[in-house]
Amino acid sequence: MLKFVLRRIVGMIPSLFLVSVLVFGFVHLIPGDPIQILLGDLATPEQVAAVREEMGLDKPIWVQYGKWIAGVVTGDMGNSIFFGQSVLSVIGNRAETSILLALLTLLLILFIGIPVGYLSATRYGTKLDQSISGISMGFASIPTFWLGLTLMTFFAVKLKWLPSSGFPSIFQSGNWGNLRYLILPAITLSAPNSALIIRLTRASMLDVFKEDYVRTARAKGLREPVVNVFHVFRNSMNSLVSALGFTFAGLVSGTVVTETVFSLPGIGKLVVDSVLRRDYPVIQGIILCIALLYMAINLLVDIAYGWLDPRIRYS
Amino acid sequence: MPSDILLSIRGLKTHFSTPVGIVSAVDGVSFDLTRGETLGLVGESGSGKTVTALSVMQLYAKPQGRIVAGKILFEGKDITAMGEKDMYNIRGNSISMIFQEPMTSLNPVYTIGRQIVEAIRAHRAIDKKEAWAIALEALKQVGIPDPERRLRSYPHELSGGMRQRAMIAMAISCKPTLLIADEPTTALDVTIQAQILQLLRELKETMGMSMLMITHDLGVIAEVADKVAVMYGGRIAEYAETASLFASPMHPYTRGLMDSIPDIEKESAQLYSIPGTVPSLIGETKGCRFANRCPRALPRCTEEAPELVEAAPGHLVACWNRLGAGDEGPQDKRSSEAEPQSRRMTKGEGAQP
Repeated sequence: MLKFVLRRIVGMIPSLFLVSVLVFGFVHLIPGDPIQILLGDLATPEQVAAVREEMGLDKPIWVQYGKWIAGVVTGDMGNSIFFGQSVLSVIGNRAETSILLALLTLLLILFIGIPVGYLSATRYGTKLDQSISGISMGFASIPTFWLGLTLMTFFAVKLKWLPSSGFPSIFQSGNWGNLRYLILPAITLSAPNSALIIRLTRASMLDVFKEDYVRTARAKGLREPVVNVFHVFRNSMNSLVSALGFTFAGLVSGTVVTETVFSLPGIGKLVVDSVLRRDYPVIQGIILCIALLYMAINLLVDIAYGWLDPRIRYS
Repeated sequence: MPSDILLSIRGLKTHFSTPVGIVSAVDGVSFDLTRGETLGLVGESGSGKTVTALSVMQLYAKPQGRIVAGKILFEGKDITAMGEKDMYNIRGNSISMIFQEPMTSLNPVYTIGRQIVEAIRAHRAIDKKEAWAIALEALKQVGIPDPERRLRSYPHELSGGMRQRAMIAMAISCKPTLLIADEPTTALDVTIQAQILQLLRELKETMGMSMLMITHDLGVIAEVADKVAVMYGGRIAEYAETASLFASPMHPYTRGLMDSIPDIEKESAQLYSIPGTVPSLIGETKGCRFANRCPRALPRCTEEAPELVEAAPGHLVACWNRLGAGDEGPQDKRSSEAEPQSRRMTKGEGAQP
């Protein structure tokens, strides 16, 4: 198992290199000039040229790439053109919000999606199953901005149970109570994602119901709930694990709409803002980090596969 | 003596509702299984053998499938009237079942040991360690080499024959009085088939079980069965002691099945097969379901379904024009009847525009 993990980690290096080249290339293809944006319309061509030289943006692109990648390897992704701070600290400030929000949302998805999907599958064809399917279809189609604003109006403005927006850092204040700022955003994000997990749990369990070993389990005299949990659900976990893994990665990186609605300092919003500012180092850094996250999750999913299915473990 | 009868099925009808109509997969099946005996249930795919067995286990597809009539008396009690709770105590305990596909009938994510222990602990209030010991004993009993190691193996680490042995070990772990074997050797190599049949025969003897052997293979029936019930189109065509059935088949379908076995002694360019295909069982059917393929069909056959009647002591047949002692034996049939049959076929084809 350890060998398998090590082999996979080494195998990630070429992919990361490829990602870095692509990211660097594409970011520099975005039309627009960061210096012009930074200095504004009134800057003289001499000032622009001076800053460009200072930042190394006048060099050929492969020289810029070489400088950048050499820094990345040592953990230095350069400085943000806009903030002037190091890219890592810019990302780090935002990562806290995104990761905590993603974890909270994932928890909600797990506790809603799997039990409801299980219920739907074991009551297949009944009124309950049909209602669940209908409702989850509805949730999957609700636009997140609308749901977010509605929840905010109701729970934050009218009932005043929860704060409406923003997120004071827990990392800096040490106050875990700040998590309440993330409750409404997490509910907003979990609605469409839970609906997908409900449908996936139901579909994969219905697939397993047809397997011969489920009939064997019943023929042994096992009670229906035992058959459902230990034979049907257990064997449908493989497909769930990968879906949950990639849902998590998506939640860390791509929740711009929700972050905007709730004014959260997250990664998604940082990406959009940085693109608008042509803040090359930050965009590159974020995309590289997200690529790394996807690869790490891919690896975790593979490890989970091996843990769940002995046929994969031993081959 | 009623206590001699372990399983008695009377007028069983198991129907399935499908989008195209009601399928009468089992349509009035009756037979008895005596304690300590093996009853072979033989027929083509779609003849209702497996549904009959699954009806005994109450494991046919629900809610599409339903027992609409008949009784299944097991040890004198009617299974069709039992609730799920009572069935939990019967399944895997007094009635066990093994299946056709040993490759897919075991759960791939659990060890053999865990799966057997699960079956034992579903019926016995004992701890894991004791159950593990019983499982080990069961693996020894079915002749799996190195049983301690095999208990810790996963199904994919075993060959098909070994997996079927493991399935059998699981089935006998609670010492059932009835073992239902649904085509247990069909998916296996020929050499392994013989070993598995031998094993089942031995286990039946040593454990005093009765066995319901479901197969399409008359060779298997000849090996293991004391009595045979031939099924066609969801009904019993013929029921007799094995020797009597092979010596003098009375139903034209039974003889067709026997003629379909290639004879190594005779050189024949073509293998015999019964013309036509298994009829669709959707909706109401009138008359004998074999009539459209039967070489001996009478006008009456398409009008009225024949009852299962005792034509000779212990030999029951459902046919209006059964084969008697005067008719030629099965082996002669190929030469004498092959020609008229093909003529009949051509005529039939020509009649269609």
